[in-house]
Amino acid sequence: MSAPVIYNYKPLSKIKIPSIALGIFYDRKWARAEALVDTGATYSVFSSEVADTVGLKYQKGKKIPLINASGDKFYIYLNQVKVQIGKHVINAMLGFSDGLCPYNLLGRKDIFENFKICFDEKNSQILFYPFA
Amino acid sequence: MAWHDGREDLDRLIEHNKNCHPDEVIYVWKEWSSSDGITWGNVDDGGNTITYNPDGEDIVGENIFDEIDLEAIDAWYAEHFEELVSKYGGRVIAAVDGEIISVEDTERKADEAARSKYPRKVPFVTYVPKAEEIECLLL
Repeated sequence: MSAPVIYNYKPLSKIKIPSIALGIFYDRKWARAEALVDTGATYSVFSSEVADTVGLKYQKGKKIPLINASGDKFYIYLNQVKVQIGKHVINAMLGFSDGLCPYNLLGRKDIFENFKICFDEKNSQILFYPFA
Repeated sequence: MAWHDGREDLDRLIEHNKNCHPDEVIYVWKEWSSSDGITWGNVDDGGNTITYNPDGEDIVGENIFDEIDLEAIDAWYAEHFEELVSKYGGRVIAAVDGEIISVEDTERKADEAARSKYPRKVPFVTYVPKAEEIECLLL
């Protein structure tokens, strides 16, 4: 297995947030964003603003309903983009939504299938081991 | 806008490149002309995305090989996170090389402001949560 990409938790007082910086590429443009790694989420959900940044007409994607932790139903639009984690670029289906959560969420679909991910609480790090 | 020829080829190529494995991206240099006089290209051998007007200068877009050190960006964000939450909680920042270039209400505005100052850079853009949002989010 290749060397891992190492990300640090974001500390705030006694809270540590498992979020990572990543790249999203569509057509001819990159965007760099931050996303919370969410092992409980099947799909990744990003702000529609990120889609706008790379010129992606995200509402042309597949519309699917989701229910958040509060029980509220909302919709995301799945679109194929390229995602950069460390120096690794993969194809991934990301969901885009125009509200509800201030944080971008990195879910399991396509992401966890390309990386073995280790949450190292002791050292406040997330390690992404690429399978390929 | 109508396409004189080849637009379908370009669409197919772009679709292929968007969906294929990164190792299978096809890099071509070919022209497709539209009725407004703009000629479009795709990706050259160096990985540069190009749109150009035959009567003017080429517009070189972002390089798909452009390697950004995401781990360094992440380390900077982690190191300054508490300070950023204190200063900019609830707003969106755009940073280039560890320098905050713009603070806006939306990702798009922050991104545009940073790219206007550094057109050849891809800014790191993120919503900085408020402290109370973080506590709610992680409960």
